[in-house]
Amino acid sequence: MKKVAFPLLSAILLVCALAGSTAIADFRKGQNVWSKHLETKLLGEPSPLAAPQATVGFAEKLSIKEVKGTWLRVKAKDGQGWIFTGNVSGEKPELAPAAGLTQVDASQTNTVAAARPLTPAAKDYAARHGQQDAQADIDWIDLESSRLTKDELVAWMSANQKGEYQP
Amino acid sequence: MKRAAFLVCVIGLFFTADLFAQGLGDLMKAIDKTAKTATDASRVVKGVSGLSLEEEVAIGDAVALAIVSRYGGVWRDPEATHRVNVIGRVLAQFAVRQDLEWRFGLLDSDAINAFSAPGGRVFITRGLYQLSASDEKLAGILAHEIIHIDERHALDIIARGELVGGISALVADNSASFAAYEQAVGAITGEILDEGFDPGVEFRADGGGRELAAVTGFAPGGLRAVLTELGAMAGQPQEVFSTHPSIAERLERLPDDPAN
Repeated sequence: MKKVAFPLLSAILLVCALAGSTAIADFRKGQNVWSKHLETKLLGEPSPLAAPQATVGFAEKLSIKEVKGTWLRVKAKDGQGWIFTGNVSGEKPELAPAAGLTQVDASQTNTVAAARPLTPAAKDYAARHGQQDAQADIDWIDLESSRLTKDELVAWMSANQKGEYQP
Repeated sequence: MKRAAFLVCVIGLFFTADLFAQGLGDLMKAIDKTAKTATDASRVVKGVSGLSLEEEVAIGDAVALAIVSRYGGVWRDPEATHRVNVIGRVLAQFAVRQDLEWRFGLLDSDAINAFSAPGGRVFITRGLYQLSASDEKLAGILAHEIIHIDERHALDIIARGELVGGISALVADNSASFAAYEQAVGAITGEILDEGFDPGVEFRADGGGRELAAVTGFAPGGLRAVLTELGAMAGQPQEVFSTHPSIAERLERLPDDPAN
């Protein structure tokens, strides 16, 4: 039994792991994908500066009609247009961005997000293990990280031609 | 007969995993005050790992504490920390999991390594950061760690450990819940900091990270360039990716992509 079960179990676990993989892969016409963000504009052309044609919400199913470089022309339930490949997933996302504990709200792109502190369970863990210095260090990272605004990220991406700002 | 026995075994293993996940869920609710105030139903939706987002974050925060403690604390360099957060969060925008709050920090250590904790915390040592002068190289490293979190590799450790080891006793008794949290955190930190992920998991993170970097617009060969540089530094005194497969094995599996 052991000789049979463990290689087979390993194979099953490997298949399960592959099935749950991050779906940043090749996209093709006819394939279904899902939007990853709370709100994503479908654009008139494959460019971040193009006019919006429609808006899709989180985990909305999109059917690919055309692939052009890193852009997909998709049909949604309420319209169609171009979307950057990084904004879709080959598998339906489970939890919406809003479910994040203190995710920056999309409407507050230019404000500094409040730093989410360590969870109470982790603070207790730090106390039990004498890791108060590490706790202070992580608090510092959280503060520094929270200073970065969505607008700053978008400006950096635009200047450095990243994401949908790729040429 | 063998097939039937095998099926029973597999079903039993998944049942055990489910019991474990439920036990951990009860434990987290008991000890984490945030759970008491959680009214958003989406917060308690269980992911594929069987853990809610809050449970994942609570475990990940403790894992992060252990990582920081082990690796000399945090290197409090605002400029470098800003840079890893910019590049890390640009990459994370295109990860599958958008439910996480991603944070990136530097560890004050000469060692050459990087780590990720469930819930969205990524760390890179000062030693590795200083080898990552180009954004492409830094993106390659960070993307690898993002994939570990995106695909819940560390959380799989808990499930797999429970399955293979047959440990399932922490479910029944609430008084054991406290210990279960410690056990879960200990299992993950042990794997991340001492044993390392299975080589196959690391190779998957290399490949997924390469794709994530490429989709984001970074050269796909950034990680390969770092590994190549490290491979050429024979006899270096500091720890080099001690928790990862050999550099040669990793390079064998990465395409020879451009690094700029």
